[in-house]
Amino acid sequence: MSKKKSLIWYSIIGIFILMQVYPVSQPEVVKENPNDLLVTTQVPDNIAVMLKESCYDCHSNETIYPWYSYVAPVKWLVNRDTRLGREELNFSNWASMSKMDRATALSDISDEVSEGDMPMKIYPIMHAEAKLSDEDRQAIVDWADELTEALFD
Amino acid sequence: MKRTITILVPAMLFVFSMSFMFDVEKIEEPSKAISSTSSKLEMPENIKGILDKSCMGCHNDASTSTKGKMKLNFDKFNNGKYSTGKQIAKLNGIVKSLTKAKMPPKKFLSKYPDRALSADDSKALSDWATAQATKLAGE
Repeated sequence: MSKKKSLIWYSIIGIFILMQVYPVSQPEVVKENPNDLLVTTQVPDNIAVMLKESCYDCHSNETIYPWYSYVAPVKWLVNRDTRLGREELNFSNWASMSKMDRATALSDISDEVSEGDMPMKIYPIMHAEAKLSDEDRQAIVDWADELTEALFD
Repeated sequence: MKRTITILVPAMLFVFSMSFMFDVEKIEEPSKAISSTSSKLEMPENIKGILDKSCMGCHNDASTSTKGKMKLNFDKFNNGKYSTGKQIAKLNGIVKSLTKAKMPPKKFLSKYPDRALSADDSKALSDWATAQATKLAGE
């Protein structure tokens, strides 16, 4: 191997190691969430399973971090998406949200799931179980719409 | 060795660039045909003016922005396509977007700076949406 080639190779390894040590904070996992949607609200089993499998990694405190989410640059992407996801909607805080905020969240769920905007396209690539069929989407939309109305009955 | 490099480097670049790809949003021209903002909602003239200036470019049936229309469509307050719960949800969504200064979008404003909301506009709109939502909720 020529000197030039090995230099390139060592710099790549060097950059990769530097990427690993670059400090980034990973959103914390909390296992006990007394205000969680699924703890405080009656949700049909099929919907609860879909929410857990397709939404909860980013939209709850119960994120399950896969091994590759500890390796940069994937680490940066996962941490960022989890942080932004929780900011937008965190099912672990459900019961502490105002009634109107819950309505807005349900309306957003309904809109984005029916449009195919959520889950994000990148997510099911590594989480096959998160993929939603058209029937799954319709079931979530119906559930969310019904619950929105029920809030103001 | 060489092959490893030629695979590894583009793969890393690819993963990294993906993180940005999913953030890209197209900014649409505001639609010329501004649909009427008259609604079953009580809408004073000043509110109508603010909506026409800063919101109706995207948030009505005539909009070419699929996302804008999906998120909020003022025509659907009139034609019964928003249920009561949905109307409350959308009105509260307006308040939240204004509080976080998410709307109108930054990219849109860089193209149409004259459509920005002043602090007074934003407060008036937010107060109005809150009052309408509260009334609909019967609280």
